[in-house]
Amino acid sequence: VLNFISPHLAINYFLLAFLTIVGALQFVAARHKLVGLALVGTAWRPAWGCLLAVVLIVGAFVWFFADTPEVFVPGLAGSELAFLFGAAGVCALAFTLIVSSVVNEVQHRERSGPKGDGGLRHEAVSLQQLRGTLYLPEDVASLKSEPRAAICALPGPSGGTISLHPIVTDLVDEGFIVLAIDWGPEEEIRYPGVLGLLPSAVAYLTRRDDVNAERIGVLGIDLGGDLAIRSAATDPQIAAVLALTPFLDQSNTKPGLSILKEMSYLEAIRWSSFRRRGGLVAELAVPDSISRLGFRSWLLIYGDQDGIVPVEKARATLDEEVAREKLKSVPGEGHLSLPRSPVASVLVARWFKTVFSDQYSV
Amino acid sequence: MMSFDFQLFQLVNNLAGRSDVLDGLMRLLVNDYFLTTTMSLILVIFWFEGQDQDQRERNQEAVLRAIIALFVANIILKLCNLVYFRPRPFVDHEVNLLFYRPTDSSFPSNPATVGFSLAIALWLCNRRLGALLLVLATLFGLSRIYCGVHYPSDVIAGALLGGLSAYLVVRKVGFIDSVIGLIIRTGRRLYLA
Repeated sequence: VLNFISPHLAINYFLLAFLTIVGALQFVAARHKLVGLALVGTAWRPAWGCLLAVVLIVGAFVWFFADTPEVFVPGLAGSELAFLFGAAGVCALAFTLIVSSVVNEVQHRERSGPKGDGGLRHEAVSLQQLRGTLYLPEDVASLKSEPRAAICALPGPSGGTISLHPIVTDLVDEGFIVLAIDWGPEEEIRYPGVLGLLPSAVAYLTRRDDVNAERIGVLGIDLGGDLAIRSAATDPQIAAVLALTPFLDQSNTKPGLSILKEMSYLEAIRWSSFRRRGGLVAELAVPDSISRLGFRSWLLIYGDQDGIVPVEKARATLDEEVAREKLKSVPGEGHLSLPRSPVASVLVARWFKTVFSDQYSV
Repeated sequence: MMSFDFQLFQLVNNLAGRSDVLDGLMRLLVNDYFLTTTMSLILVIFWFEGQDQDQRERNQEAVLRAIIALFVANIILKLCNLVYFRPRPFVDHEVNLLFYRPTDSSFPSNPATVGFSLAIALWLCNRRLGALLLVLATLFGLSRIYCGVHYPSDVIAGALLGGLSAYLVVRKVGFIDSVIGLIIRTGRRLYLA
């Protein structure tokens, strides 16, 4: 049975523990760039986080000893202290995760401008299983006699085609026709049904007069990357495949705490609500598919700050020599930020251009 | 032996009252809140430390073992208190008392047991952080002698008890591995480990 003796002392100790634990969490957030724990949001700098941590911890101790004369009379015993510290720890963690999620949400809304197609020439595509948007370079109509190389682009299941926009823009600028594919509702994303997604997109492109059917590449992001590799391994019409941040292995779909480097806790809960991710990665068996790509050109790109699939883990999945040649990492980018990175967009566009260069003419 | 213990006690306790700064520092260290909270905060931070998942998992195991060691040490301490009661130094001697008068048994020292169980458990897993906690635990024990509420032998016994509990929990008790594994797996599912 707990006996707190002095309610004032107990409340003050609870507040001391609460504030110092919040401070400790801010120190951790600043040190390990865990945006999901940072109270100052994603626009924060580590120095601000450390300063906040010091202010909270030192301030809490100063206040506690100044406001609690009971410190120097018989007070709380070990069990009461442990109980109060534990309770304060749970409250501090919940407070930090909730406030951080709200701050992240607000900052995210402020940052994301109006969503649109950025003036790119595009048309909607809707054919049975296939839904997406076709982006065309401005000069395609005038060059009908000379079919273009085309790219099927598949985002992550929760990303939406809008997440492809920076890369699509660069690809279209380089003269590619791009079909951005929509996964459809999450509840309909099932194996083996998903295997039909890219082949149907490729088939659609091959039927178009403005597309050179021998120069079709696929680009996948996140789980889309895994599906792109698997589809390329079985569809001979796919000439090149580039995967951004694919999972490769089922264990990478359980990132644990590191996911808070990428998103807030609330977003992480939403991310985990797509429960079939791990099963799909296992079914797609990407490492086996890579070995079956044969003569096709392929490349994997990761951000070196990826909090979901660390680049070292991805590298370990591949043979050392293959990894050296076929895996690139972009400095300073994470799992979610990589597709929005200008460096990655340019890298993707240049890679496809190089791959198709012997056949491709602008 | 008791005489040597008391002589050692006097050597430290007689320093009290000579310097306001040192007395103030010892008052900060001796209370039940400052160092215990500081050590607990270090454990909280260590839970999240690590450059990759494997390193973090090792750290989290160390934190859980330290908490279990603290729990085990406290049980043994309570049992000791049931069978043996030693009066505090201020009961039998004229001492410089800078703290309130605790009524529980002086032997073994409760703060030393707590401090050293955490410090040794962490030291067995991470030398640098363990060394920091050992310094804090030693200061905790010394401050109790300085302020006149423990004999040196109480602190040494507490340190041995805490250290032994930590050693048993970290190195000898294998069955807690599954419990620790379960806690970490659950934490990882909740994105907290």
